[in-house]
Amino acid sequence: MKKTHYIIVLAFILNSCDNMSLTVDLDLPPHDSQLVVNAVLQAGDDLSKVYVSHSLDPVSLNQYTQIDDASVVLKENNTIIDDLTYQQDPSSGAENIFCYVTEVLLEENKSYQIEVSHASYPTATAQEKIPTPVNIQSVELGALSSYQQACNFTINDPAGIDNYYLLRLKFKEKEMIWGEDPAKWYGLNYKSNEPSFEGNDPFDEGTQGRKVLFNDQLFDGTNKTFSLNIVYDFFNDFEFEEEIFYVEYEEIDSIKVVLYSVSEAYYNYHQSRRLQNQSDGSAILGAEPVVVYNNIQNGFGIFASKSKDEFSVATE
Amino acid sequence: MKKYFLLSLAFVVLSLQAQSQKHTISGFVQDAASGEQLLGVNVIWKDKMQGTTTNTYGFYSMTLPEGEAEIVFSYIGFDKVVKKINLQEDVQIDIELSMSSAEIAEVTVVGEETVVDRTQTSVVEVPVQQIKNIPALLGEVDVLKAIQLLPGVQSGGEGSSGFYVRGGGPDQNLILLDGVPVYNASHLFGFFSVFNADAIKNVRLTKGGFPARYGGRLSSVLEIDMKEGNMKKIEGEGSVGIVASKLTLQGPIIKDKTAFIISGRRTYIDLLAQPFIKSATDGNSTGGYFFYDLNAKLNHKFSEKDRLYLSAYSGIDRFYVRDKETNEGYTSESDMGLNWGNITSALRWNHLFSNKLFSNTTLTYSRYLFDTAFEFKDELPDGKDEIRFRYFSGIEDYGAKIDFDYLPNPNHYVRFGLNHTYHTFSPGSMDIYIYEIDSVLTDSSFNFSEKLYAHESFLYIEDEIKVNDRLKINLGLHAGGFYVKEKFYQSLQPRFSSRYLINKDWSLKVSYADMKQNIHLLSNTSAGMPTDIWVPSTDSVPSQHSRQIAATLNHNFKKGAYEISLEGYYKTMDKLITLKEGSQIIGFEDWQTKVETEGEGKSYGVELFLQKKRGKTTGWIGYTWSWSWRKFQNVNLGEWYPYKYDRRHDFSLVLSHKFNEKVDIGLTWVYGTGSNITMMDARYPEIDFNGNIGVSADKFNEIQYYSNRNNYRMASYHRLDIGANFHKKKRWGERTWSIGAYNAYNRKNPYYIYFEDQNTYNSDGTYTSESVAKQVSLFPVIPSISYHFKF
Repeated sequence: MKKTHYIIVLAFILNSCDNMSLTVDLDLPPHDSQLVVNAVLQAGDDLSKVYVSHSLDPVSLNQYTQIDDASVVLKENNTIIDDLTYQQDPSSGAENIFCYVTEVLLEENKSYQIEVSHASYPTATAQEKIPTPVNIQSVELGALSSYQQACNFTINDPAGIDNYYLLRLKFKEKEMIWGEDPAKWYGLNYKSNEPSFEGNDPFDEGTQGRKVLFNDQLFDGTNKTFSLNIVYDFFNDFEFEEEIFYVEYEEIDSIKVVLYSVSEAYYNYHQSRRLQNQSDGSAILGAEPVVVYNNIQNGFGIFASKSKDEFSVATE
Repeated sequence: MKKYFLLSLAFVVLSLQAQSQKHTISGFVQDAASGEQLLGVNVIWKDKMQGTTTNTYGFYSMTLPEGEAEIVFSYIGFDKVVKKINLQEDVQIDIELSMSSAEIAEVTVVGEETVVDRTQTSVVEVPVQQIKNIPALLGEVDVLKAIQLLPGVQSGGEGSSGFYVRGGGPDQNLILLDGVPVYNASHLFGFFSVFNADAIKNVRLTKGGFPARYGGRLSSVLEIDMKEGNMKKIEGEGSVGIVASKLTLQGPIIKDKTAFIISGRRTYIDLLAQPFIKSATDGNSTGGYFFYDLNAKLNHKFSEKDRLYLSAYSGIDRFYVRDKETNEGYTSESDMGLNWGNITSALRWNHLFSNKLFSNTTLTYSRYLFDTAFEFKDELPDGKDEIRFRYFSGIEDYGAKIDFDYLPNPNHYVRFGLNHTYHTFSPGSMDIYIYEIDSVLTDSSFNFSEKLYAHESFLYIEDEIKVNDRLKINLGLHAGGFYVKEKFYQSLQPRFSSRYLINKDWSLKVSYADMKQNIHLLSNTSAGMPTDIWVPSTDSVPSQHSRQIAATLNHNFKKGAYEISLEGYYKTMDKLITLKEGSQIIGFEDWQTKVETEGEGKSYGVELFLQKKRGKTTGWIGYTWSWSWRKFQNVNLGEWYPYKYDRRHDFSLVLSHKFNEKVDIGLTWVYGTGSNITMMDARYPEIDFNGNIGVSADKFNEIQYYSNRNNYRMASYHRLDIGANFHKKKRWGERTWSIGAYNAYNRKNPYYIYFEDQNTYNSDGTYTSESVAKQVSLFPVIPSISYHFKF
């Protein structure tokens, strides 16, 4: 090979080395912001509210703003039944949290549609059916031992349909504590070997007692008894964050089992949300990012529903 | 369908009885220069243009009518041998073929029967010499990276030696070294493969149309045969490169009776870095990384009918850091190590029962082990503190198999056999020992996942039937069983392939293969990490299953110098497994709780393969147009999503050109559609279980929105590698200087993407923040130089 060939190859390689940086900025297609609609409908007296916001570009450092001038209407059979009003969130302690609230009493086993429109965004819509609650047939408390107590409750799971549940246990004390109304119910922790519960604990809300989101795949259509073991070690309500309080069993007045029947959308949203928070999203070695369930047409968020049944028993 | 296969096989067996007044000519064909058996040599009965080919061990057998016959032994790159015989009884004729002197001057890619003749679809054989001519990263010739250049095969990512065949996963490739499975075929986190090209004789990849003798994996079988050792004379070759050196010796122990080959490779960055580390730490510390491979083989010819082979491979990767510090009355020591590697060995006995029946009996052993350990020890005046930690995982196999080749007449080639493997799976264990001052605080072993023991067996029968001069079919049945923890999986897997010769230069083929897989790899990454673990099917994790059909049109032209094939395939997979969303391999839970089962997959595409096998310029062009999808009930909300290695276009150009006896060059250019990754499309506020907006530190908790798994394609991948070899004859043999450049035009190929917040400071001391997406590449242009010698 002629010398000139070597020179050409060498020049080619050297020329290629002009920029050895291995990290480059990437131009990603910009994100067109869309409406974010988050709502959980509840039947009966329980408040149903809708949060309206907007999505952000992944690389944006802007903060979310709540949209106060949207039109939010609730429909039944495609007929408007309520035009929701914008107000301060009654369940939030923060003064700067607002939402749209409906005055209409919603009913179980009925379908509702929501339509959120705003001049700057495409109109977002969704629909949802409020599930019929599954009744708790009985609750039995066992003997107390080493700050633990058995608690069994039974339900009759409807056959042939997929049912989704959220379970909580609560307690109420005999006397007023920490300046609170003695009628207030506090969350309790519990253990269980129930296979349906496996791996289904939420990741972020243990401060209000244990909550488990599960489905009826393993007991569809059966009379199902759940065996729990209440743990009287501590609870940690929001007002007393970061401190551990032991519950004196003698001061407990009653225990309540709260079983929410939640919609499939509610279940899918919270399960996928939990998994997304668990995965670290690391680029090379971590788990794959998780896709979170979204049922808002032309927007983001969740339009879900739940209904509940409660059963309380006195401790003595 | 299975019933029809059984009936057809019964018919075949009965038809074999009707033979009379015929005799059998059989024997072995070997390379005259080295005594190595030649695989795939065409043995043709010239009068009728009927024939057969030699098997993996160079054996052939043909039954012909009594009388005179002219037999032609031909093999590309070797001089033809013609034998005239008067066949009056069964005879054994062993043949030695010599390298064609006319073709030594140019380059000839030696190889077996042409793509037009072969009955099987979806098979590619890459000659080792061609692999050596392909320019390589840091000059390290890599078998698996050469395989990635074939159509239908994709790489796992920049620099990775992992490969993905026709939309299958990395665990769906059965990699056999001398017939023994290799479970982790990569060094240095996937950047180099474990196969030392100097010790290798054949490389053959089967992507579909699997004959019944293959089983256990869904997507491919990669067979790598080690050289057997030169029976004629002592030979040696070696090289010194930037990262590693190699040395191979082979030769006769007893001429034409017993031969050996031994080959070793070791990296030496750790040795070079040693003085610098010691000097920087006042001699207190040492550390580094290296890997080595050692291949060895012995073969002995007891008689014309019996031959014994003993082969072994051992390879290890090791990271280590050691530190020792001594002060007044106080000594502190630490030792950390990360080791992983394979050991395989095979004892093989070839026996000729008769001139029509050849057997191969093999005992195998294979072990892959990942082992990490650290130890801290403080010697104090009043006692000592000591902490020892060890984590290990792996798989170990003991196997036995027997394979028979039965050639009753030129119209049938029957293969049958059985195989049994005893697997031990160790999915992850940890030992902890803590000693403080004068007592043991902890001395425990933790098995996150219990050891599992499994028996895997299969038996098979297949027959390659010559129906007439144009039509050949291969019918087979593979029956498999897998027993683990009182659970037994069984399967009958029918196989079919056929070839229709349109004329001597054109053929059409179709194939169907049903495959089952009982061992699975759990992996978070595409990099081929040593932490990946092999696990078996269990009562909660069923066997994976696939069905594949393929059709191919093949053509030879320019007197066989060129081959072209156009192949289409459609593959469905079910009962696939993957890690559950959000799960990672390393953790304290049993692996079975982290696995998503019952997955579905489908892949389809078209592959074009044009090869030039003779002349001064050789090489190939490969192009694949393909799709690959996955679906799991609890992944991506149960919707179909593109597989991570769904790559629409994949193109490779591989060229070697020999200018003269002194100079040759190699060039590779690859282009592929960008890899899929899951990338955030948007962010939005979330709500909690009570339906309240989530707020922490005055900010809304947010959800990262991904429209679906693998929703974003990174930029396309392309790269040019170039290399040149300069040969010179010396009194003692030949030396070669090789220079090359990987990624010659310094393309910044994407490896991964991440988001980063950046602050820009203004002159008044304030700053503005922005978040930017960054794309990271792994390798710029990397020049290489190495020195090779051969004697």
